[in-house]
Amino acid sequence: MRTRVPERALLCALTAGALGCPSTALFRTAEPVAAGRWQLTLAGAGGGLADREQGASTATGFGELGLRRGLSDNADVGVKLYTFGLAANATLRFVHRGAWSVAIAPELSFARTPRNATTTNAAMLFGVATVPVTWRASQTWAISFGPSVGGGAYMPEAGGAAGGFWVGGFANVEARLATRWWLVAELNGYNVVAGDVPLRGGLLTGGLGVRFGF
Amino acid sequence: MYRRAVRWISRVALGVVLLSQQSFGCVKTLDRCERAAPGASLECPMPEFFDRAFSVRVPARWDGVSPLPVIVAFHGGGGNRLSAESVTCPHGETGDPNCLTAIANAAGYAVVLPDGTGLRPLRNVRSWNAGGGTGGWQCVSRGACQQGVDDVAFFDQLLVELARVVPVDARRVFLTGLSNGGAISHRLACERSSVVAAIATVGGTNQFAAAGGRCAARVPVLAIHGSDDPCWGYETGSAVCAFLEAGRKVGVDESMEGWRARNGCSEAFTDAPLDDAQTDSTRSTRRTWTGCAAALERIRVEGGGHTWPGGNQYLEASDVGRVARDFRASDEVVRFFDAHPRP
Repeated sequence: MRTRVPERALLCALTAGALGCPSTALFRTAEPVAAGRWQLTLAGAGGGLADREQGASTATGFGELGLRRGLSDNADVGVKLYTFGLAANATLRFVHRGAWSVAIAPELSFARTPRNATTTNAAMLFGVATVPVTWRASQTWAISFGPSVGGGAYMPEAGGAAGGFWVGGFANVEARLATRWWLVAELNGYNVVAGDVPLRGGLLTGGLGVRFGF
Repeated sequence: MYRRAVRWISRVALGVVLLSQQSFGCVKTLDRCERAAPGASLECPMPEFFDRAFSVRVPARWDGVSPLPVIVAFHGGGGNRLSAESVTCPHGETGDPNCLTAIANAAGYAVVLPDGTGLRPLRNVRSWNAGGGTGGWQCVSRGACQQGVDDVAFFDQLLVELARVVPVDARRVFLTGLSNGGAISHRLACERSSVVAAIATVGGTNQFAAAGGRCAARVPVLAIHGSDDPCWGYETGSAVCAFLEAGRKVGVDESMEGWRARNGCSEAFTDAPLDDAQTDSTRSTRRTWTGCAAALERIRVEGGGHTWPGGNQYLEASDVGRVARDFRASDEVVRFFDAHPRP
C-alpha cells in the first residue's frame, strides 16, 4: 500500500534538504553585467537527484536571489542567497568575438544546516567553476552552455568531514523581455565522480530565472 | 580589470572561509561524554562512525556507581535519535513523563538513542540495515540496507562507547524500536544473542531471518503490531510508506513462528485481552506462548496502525494508522524487560 502524506512529507523534506546540495545553477551568460551596472536575479529550479549506492532517487528544488555588479567590459562579481546557503561568484570573460563570448565563472558557496528532522547540524563548503559559452543570436535572444567542475566538503557535528568532486554542465536560453528585464530558462546537471558529497550519484534540475538590471 | 576582480574574489573567498571556520566551531555541540552523573542527558559522538551519534538518558535515581540496565531504542526508517524518543511521547514532546525515556528512567534503566545511517544529501533522514534485499524480500530500510552498512559492528562499538559513559549491567542490555528500529532489534537479537537480553519491537518484524539471515538465537521477544499497519503489514506483503520500495516485508505470524521454534516454545498459547479503557477504536490482545525456554509474547492491536501505542500520532491516521491509547507500549516494553534479564 502506498500512502500520500508520508510521500508529501518526504518531498517537502527533500526540497528543504536541497540545502545540502551546492547551487550549481548559473541563470546568466558568459557576458558580464556592464561596468558600473547592477543586476538582480530571482530564480527557482526543481528536478531530481539519485544516490546510486543508497538506491534513493527523489525530487529536489531550490530558490535563489542574486545580485551582480559589473566591474569592466569583461568582468563582474556577484553574491547570491540560495536555500539555504550563501555564494560569491564572478564572470571573467576571456573570449569575445562577434556574437560569441566565453568566460570562466568561479563560485564559492557556504551552507549551514541546523539539526532537525531532515538535516544535521553541519557546515558545508562548495566550490564550482563553470565555463559558459554564449552565442548571442540577437538583442533579444542568447543561448549559453558549458561544462562545470566542482567540489565540496561536509562537516557535521558528530565530527569528521566528507568530500566529493563532480563534473557537469548547463544550458540556458535567455530572452530579453524589456529594456531592463530578462528571462532565463536553464537545465543543469552534474555527476559526482569521487566521494559522496553531496551524494554518490547525480542531480538534474530545470529552472526559470528573472533578471532585472539597474 | 582582472586584478580588481581577483582582489574582490579573494576577499569574498577569505570571508567565506573565515565564516565557515567560525561556524564549524559552532557545529560542535555534542558532549564530551565521559562518566555521566545521575539524571544526565548527553549527546555523544561515535568517533569510528562518520556522522553518527547517540543520546543517553541516565536515570535520576541512580547511585552513580552500580551497573545500569540499558534500553537501546532504535529509530524507525527516515527518523533519527530525536524521533526515536519523540515517537513514544503522546504529543511528540520529549520531556513528557509518558515518553519511553521517562518511563524507563523511572524504572531504573539508562536509555540509549543511537543514529542510523543518513540518507544523502538529507543526512538526518536515517535508517538501519535490518536485512532483506534478497529473494524478493524488501531491503529494510533503504539507505543503510542498500548501502550494506554493518550495523552489527555499529552496535558493538555503541556498547563500547556507552561503557565510557555509564557502567553497563551486561545481563540487562535490551533493545526496542518502531518499524525499522524494531527490525534491527530482531536482527541484533539474531546476531548478538550473547549480548542482547531481550527485545521488544513495535511495528517491525524479523526481516533478517525471513531473508535467509542466520538466526539460531534464543532470545525473549515481545512483538507489538497493529492489525491495520499500512507501512509494515501485519500479514506478509509489500507494504511501504515513505519510500517506494519493491519487495515483501515478513508478517507478524511468520516472524513469531520463527522465534517460537528458536525459543523452544510449544505450539500452545494463551490469549488475554488488554483493558479497552479508551475510546480509541482499537482493542488489543496479548498472546503468550507456553513451554518456552525464552519468553515469547505478541500484542496484536486491532485497529492500530504503524504507531507506538500511547505515543505520538506523527502523521495523519489516514496515512499511518491510529495510535492505540488503551495502553502504553513503553509500559509493556519495561515490564517485559524487567522480567527477562540474561540468566
